[in-house]
Amino acid sequence: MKIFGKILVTTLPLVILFLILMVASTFYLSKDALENLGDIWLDTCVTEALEVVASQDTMLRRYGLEAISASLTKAKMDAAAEMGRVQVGRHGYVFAVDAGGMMVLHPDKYFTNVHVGDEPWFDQLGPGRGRLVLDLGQGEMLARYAYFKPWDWYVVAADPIVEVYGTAQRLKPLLLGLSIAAALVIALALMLLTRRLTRPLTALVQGAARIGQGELDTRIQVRSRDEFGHLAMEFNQMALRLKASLWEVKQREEHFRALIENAADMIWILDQRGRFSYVSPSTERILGYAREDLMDTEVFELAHPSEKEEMCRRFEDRILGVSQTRMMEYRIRHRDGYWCILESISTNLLEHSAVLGYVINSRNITKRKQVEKALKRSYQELEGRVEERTRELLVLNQTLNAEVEIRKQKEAELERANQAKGEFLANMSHEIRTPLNSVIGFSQILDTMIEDPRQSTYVSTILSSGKSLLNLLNEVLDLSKMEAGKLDIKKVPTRLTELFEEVGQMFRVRLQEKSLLLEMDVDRDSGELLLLDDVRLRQMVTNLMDNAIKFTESGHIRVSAQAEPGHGGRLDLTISIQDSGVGIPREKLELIFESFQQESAGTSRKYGGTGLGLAICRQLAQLMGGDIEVESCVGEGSCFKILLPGVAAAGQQGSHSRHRREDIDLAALSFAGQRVLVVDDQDSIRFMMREFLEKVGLVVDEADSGKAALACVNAQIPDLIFIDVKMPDMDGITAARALQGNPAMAQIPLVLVTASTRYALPDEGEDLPFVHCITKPVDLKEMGEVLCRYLGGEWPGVVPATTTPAPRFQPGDMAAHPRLREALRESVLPLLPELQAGMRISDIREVAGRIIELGREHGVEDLSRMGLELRQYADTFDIEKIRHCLQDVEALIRIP
Amino acid sequence: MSVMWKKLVWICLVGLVGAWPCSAEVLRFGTHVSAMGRLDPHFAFGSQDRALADMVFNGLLRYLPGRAPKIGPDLAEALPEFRMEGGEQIWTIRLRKGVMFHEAPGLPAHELTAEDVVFSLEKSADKARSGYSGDYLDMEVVLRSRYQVEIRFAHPISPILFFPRIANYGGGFIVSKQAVETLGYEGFKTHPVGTGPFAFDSHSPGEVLKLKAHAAYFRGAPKLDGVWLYFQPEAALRLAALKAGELDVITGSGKKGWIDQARALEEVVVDTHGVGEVGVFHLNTTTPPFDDIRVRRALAHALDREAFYRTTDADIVDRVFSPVPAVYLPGGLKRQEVDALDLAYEYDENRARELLRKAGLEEGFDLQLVASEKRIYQAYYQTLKAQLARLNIRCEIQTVPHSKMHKIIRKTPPPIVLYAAWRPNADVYLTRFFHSDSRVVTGRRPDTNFSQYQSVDALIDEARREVDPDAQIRLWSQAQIRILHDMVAFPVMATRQIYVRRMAVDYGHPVVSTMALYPQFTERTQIRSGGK
Repeated sequence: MKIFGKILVTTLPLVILFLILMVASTFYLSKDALENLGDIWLDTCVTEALEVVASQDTMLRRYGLEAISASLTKAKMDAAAEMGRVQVGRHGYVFAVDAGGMMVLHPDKYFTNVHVGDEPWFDQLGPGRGRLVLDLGQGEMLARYAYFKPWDWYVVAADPIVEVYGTAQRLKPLLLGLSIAAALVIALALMLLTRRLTRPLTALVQGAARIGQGELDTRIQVRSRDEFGHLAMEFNQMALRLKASLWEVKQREEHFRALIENAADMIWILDQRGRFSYVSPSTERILGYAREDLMDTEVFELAHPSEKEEMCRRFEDRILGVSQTRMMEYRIRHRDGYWCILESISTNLLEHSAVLGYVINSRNITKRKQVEKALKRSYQELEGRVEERTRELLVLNQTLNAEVEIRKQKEAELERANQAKGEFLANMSHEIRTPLNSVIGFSQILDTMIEDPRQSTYVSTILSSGKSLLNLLNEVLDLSKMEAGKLDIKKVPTRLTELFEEVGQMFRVRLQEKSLLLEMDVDRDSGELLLLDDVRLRQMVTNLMDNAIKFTESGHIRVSAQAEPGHGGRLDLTISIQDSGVGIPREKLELIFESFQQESAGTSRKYGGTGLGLAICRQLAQLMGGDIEVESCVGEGSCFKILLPGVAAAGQQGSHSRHRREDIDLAALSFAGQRVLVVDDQDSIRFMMREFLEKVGLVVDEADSGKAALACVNAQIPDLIFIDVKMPDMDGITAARALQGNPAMAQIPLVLVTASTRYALPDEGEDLPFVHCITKPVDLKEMGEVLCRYLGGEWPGVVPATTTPAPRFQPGDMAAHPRLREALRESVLPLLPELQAGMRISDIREVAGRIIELGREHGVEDLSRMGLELRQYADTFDIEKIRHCLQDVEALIRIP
Repeated sequence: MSVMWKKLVWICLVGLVGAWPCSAEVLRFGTHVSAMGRLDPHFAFGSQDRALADMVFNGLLRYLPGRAPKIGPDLAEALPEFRMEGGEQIWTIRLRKGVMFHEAPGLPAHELTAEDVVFSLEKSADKARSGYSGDYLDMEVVLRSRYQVEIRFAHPISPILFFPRIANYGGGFIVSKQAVETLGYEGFKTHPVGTGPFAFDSHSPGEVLKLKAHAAYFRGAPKLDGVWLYFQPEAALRLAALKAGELDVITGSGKKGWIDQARALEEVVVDTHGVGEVGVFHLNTTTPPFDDIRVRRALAHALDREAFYRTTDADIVDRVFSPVPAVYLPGGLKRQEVDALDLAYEYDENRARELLRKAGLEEGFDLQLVASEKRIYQAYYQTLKAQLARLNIRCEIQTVPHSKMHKIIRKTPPPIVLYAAWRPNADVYLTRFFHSDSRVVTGRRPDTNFSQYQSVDALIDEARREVDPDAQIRLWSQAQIRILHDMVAFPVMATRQIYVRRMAVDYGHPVVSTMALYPQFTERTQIRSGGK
C-alpha cells in the first residue's frame, strides 16, 4: 500500500469518531444551556414587567392616590400599556392575572378580563417566583411568573416552547448535517493533504532517477517552501553543479588539447622504451614526419649518430630518476635528411594514469643557432671598426682644441679692443669737453661783453660750432652706449603736455625766425600722467622737432599725442611730429634711420647734422619697446611717429619731469657780497668760471686740487663750491666727502662740475654729496640757474613765452586789418564775457578755432598762433593762461 | 339706535376710515371686541391683544403659523439644546444676526441683540411688568455675547415645558430694551416696538389700530402694506362690513346659525380652526356650598354637556372631558379614558338630587355669578342657570364687560366661575388653574385658581420636573383624575375659532390651529389681485 492509502486508513476513522463525539456533546450542552438560558431570559422579562407595575404603585402611594379607584385604574392601565411594550421573543408576551383568576392584562384583547382560574396552570401559581408550562390555545408555552402583592397580581412572561427550545431542536439536524459535511470536508482535506505531501516526494524520486541516468538538465518541479521544496532545490543545485563541473572538465580538456595541437613546439609522449605514443601535429611541420610515421618508433632512431648514445643515456637516467629536469639540445634528422637542432625539456609522467609516458617538449632552434653564429661574427667585425674610428677621433679632437684656444684668444683681444674703444671714447669725450668748455664758456662770456654786431656774429658762430661739436660728441656717446647695451631706460611719471610745451618753448625762437606755425594736440588720455623716460623721450621729440624745423621752410609743424587702450589697462601711445617741409623720397625712408646716414649728401651740407639723430631715436624707441615710423611725400612734408605700446598710467603721482630750463638774462644776475670756491685742476676752466662769476658780483676763490680746496675752505668758508672730479692729489669726491664730514662745512652746497657724463644722471649721483651736477662744457645759463637756486638770487629774465610772445601781434596792427577786426567783433567779442565767466573748455576750443580760421583767412599768422595758444591752454586746462590769453584777445578787438 | 341703523353708521365709518389712506394691500381685520386691551405683549390676555402681539413681536421660538402646537425657531437660529452643569440645566440660544426692531418716534430702527432677550425675559418674570411672570420665575437668563444667551434652571425641565416659554406666546415675546428705555415704559405701552412683520402705526381707541409693514423684517418684507384692526363686538355688523367689502377678515361668531349666514354670502370663506378656548366651570371648594364634594359632584351630574353644545354651532365645538384638552395637548384625558375611570360625570339628574340630599341641600340654594358680555359667556351662563334651576339652584347672573369680569373673578371670585381660555401646555393649565400658588386672592402668586384647590401641587410640580415626556404625561393624567375625582372643575367644551375672510385673502399658510387665537397675518399673507 502506498503512503497515500496508509495515511487515509489511519486518520479518517479517528477524525470521524472525534466529530461524532463533538456533535453529541455540543447538542447535549446546547440543549441544557438553552433551557437554563430560556428560564433566565423569561425571568428577566418578568422582572422588567414587575418594575413597571411597582413604579406605578409607588407613584400612587407617593401622591396619596392609592385609595382613589380611578387613579388606581389609570395606574393599572398605564402599567398594562407599559408592560405590553416588554419584548418576550418573537411570539412571547407578558400578561397579568389577578388572584381571582381574572386576566387583567393580555396583548390579545379577547383574553382581557377573561377568567382563567380554572386553567390547570393557574393552580401552579404561587407567591414569589416560579416556572410553569401552559397552553393558552397557542401551543405549549414556557413561562416564568412573579407575584405582585399590592395589586394581588401574577405577572407572567410566556414564550412558546418551540421558540425557547427551537434553537436546540433546529440545531439537531443542523449539527448532524454539519458533522457529515465536516467529515467529508476533513476526508477530502486529508486526501488533499496526503496527496500534497506525497506528490513532491514522487517528483523527487523521479527527478533523482533521471539525474542518476545522466540527464543533468532535469529540474525537479517542487516549489513548496517545506523540506520537500528544500530537498528538491538541493537536488537541482547538485545537478547544476555536476553539469558545470563536467562542462568545465570538458572545456579544460579541449583547451589543453587545442594548446598542444596548435603549439609551435613539438610535444611527444614516449613510453618507457622511448617509443612515440603521441606526436603533436607540429612535428610534421617542423620535422616533416607525419604522426603515423613516428608512432611506435624509438626517438633515438632520429638522433644524430654522434648524440644518439648520449641521448639514450640521458633518457635512461630520467627514467630511473637519476637526473633532474633540464633543458638540453640535440640534433634530430628531418624527414628530408638534414639535421635540425632541437631544444627539449622532458617530464616524467610514466606514473600519471592519464598520460603513462615520458613527455618531451621540443623547440626547433636551428635558425636561432644560425643567427647567433652570424651575430657573433658581425660583432667581431664591429669591434675592429670602432677601434679604428676612435683613433681618428682622437686626432680630430686635438685639432679642435687648438682652434678653440685660438678663438678664445681672439675674443679676449676683441674684448680688450672694445674696452679700449670705450675708454677711448670716454677719454676723448673728456678730453674734447675740457677745451670745448673753454670755447663755449668764453664764447658766452664774450657774447655778453661784445656789442659790435659783427664781432657778436663771430662769437655766435664760435658758440654755435662749439655746441654742434658738443652735440656730435653726445650723440656719438649715446650711440656707443646703446651699442654696448649700457643705456638704461628710467621711467618716471611724465605729463606729455608739459614736455611738449617745454620743447615748443625750446624751439620758439627758431619757429618764429622761419615763421612756422606750431600746433600741439594732446588728447585726453595722453594728457594724463604716464610712466615714461622723460629725458630720452624729450631727446627724441627734440631731435624730430629739430629735423622738422630744419627741413621746413614754410607752413606748420604739428606735434600731437594720441593714446589708445592697449593690453592690461595700458595705453598704446603715438607721438607724431608732422611738418610741411621738403619731404623724403620713398626709397630713402629706411636709409635715414641708419647711423651717419642722411637723405642725401647734399642734405648734410645744406642742413648740417651728424646723421646720428634718427638712428639714436629709433634705437631709443626700440629700447622703450616701441619703434619709429615715417610717412612722407616729397614736397608735401613728413610725419614721424614714435610708437610706444604698453605705456602705464602713473595715477595721481606728481610729475617728475625735469625742470625746464628757461631763458635767463645773465647780464641781469647779481650776487654781490657772496663768495664761491671754484676747484678744478684746469687753469682755463677756473679762469673761465671766475670771469663769469665775478661778472655777477661774486667773490671767487680758486683751488687746483682737493687738498687745496679743503685748505681754502678752512681759511674762508664760501657760500657755494664748484668742484671738479678728476684732480691730482685728491679728487673732487674725496674732498667733498671730507667737507661733508666737517660739521662747520657740511651746509655748504657742493656743485659737481665734470666732463664725465656718468655723474650727470641723478640716480648715479644720489649717494654723492653734491646738490647739483654741471656737465662740461659749462653752460653759463645752467650755472646762472644754480647760483639763483643756492645763493638765493632773483630769477632774472624768465619771461613766459605764452604771456609775451615775441613778436606778438599788437593791437595796433589791427588797423591794417579792418575787416578782420570787424569779423572778430561780430563772432568772437560777444562770446568773451561768458567764456571768462564760465571757462567751459569746449567753448574756448571753439572760439580758439574761430580765431585760427580768421587769422588764416586774413593772412595774419600771429592771430592764428594766438588762437593755437588758446587752444593749447584749453587742452591742458591751464586756466590762468586761458584767462590772460582771452584778455589779450579782447584788448586786440576793443582798441580802436 | 336700531341694529340696522347701527350697521349703516358703522359700515360708513369703516368705509370712511378705510377709503382715504387705504391702498390695495392693507388688510382690514374686524375683531369681535370693542377695544384693545393692553399693547404690551407681556400683558396680552385678550385675543385682540394676542393678535397684535403676534404681528408686532417675535419670540425666540414660534409656533409654526397655522400649525400649533408645532414649534420651530424664530429669533433663535435653531431649537436650543441643553447641557447639565453642576446640577443646573443650561439651554444655549444663539440669535439670528441682522434682525431689526421697528423704528418709533425718536428712535431709529436698531438691531436685536442678546441684551434685548435678557431684558425681555427678565421683564416677563417681573410681576409688575408681565402677566405671565409665574412661568419665568425659575429661570435665570445670562448674557453670553451679542448674539448668545444662556437660560439656566436649577431644576431641569422637559422641552415640552421649556419651548413654550420662549415661544411667541405670553411672556415669550421679545421687546426692545432700547425702546422701553428711550420711550419710557408708558410710551412703550402706547407704541409697542418689536421685530415682527408689522409695526405699530397708530391707534384710535375703540375704532381702529393701524399696523404698517416692516420692510426690514428678517423673513422678508411683508406682502401687505399693513393691517388695520377694527373693533366691533356685533357679529352682524362685522359680517355686514365684510359683505360690503369694507373688511377683509372678521372674527366669526359661534352663535347658532351665524356660520350658515356667513356661508351664504358670495366670495366669502368661513374658516374654523384650533386651538379652541376650553370652557371650564371652576367650583370654589373653600366656601359653601361647594366646599362639600357631594355638592360639587351633584352639580356635575346636573349639567348636560349636550345642552351647552347646542348653544354653539356644531362646526366649532370640540368635546372636552378634562381640564387639559386632549384634542390639542398631550396630557389631556380622552373620552374613553374618563369612561373607563368613571369620571365622565354623565348627566344624571336623579343622582344629582341624591347627592344634594345627602349634603342636606335638597331644597336648593342661591348663587351670585358674574358673566362677560361676550356671547360665549352668555351662552354658558344662561345654559348653566337653566339646568341648575331644575335642582332649585337659583343663579343670579351679573353681566359685565369682559375685562371687568376678569377683574371681578380675580378679586372676589364667585362660587362658580366660567373661564374660557387656552393655555400652551398641560403644566400651564394645571398650574394656573389648580396649583395652590395660583389661588386667586390667597395664593402665593394669585392667578386663576378660582376653585382654591390645593391637592395636586405635588403631582404638578413633579410633572414639571420630569424630563421624560411619557412619565410627565402620566403625572399630568393622574393630577386631572384627582381633580375630576374631587370635581373642582367641570370641563364643558372647547370652542374652535371662527374667522371669515373674503376669498381674495390668502393667509399664506394652512390654518389648522394657532396659538395666537386668530388666523395669523404674516409676511406671506396677501390679498390677491382683484380682491378689492
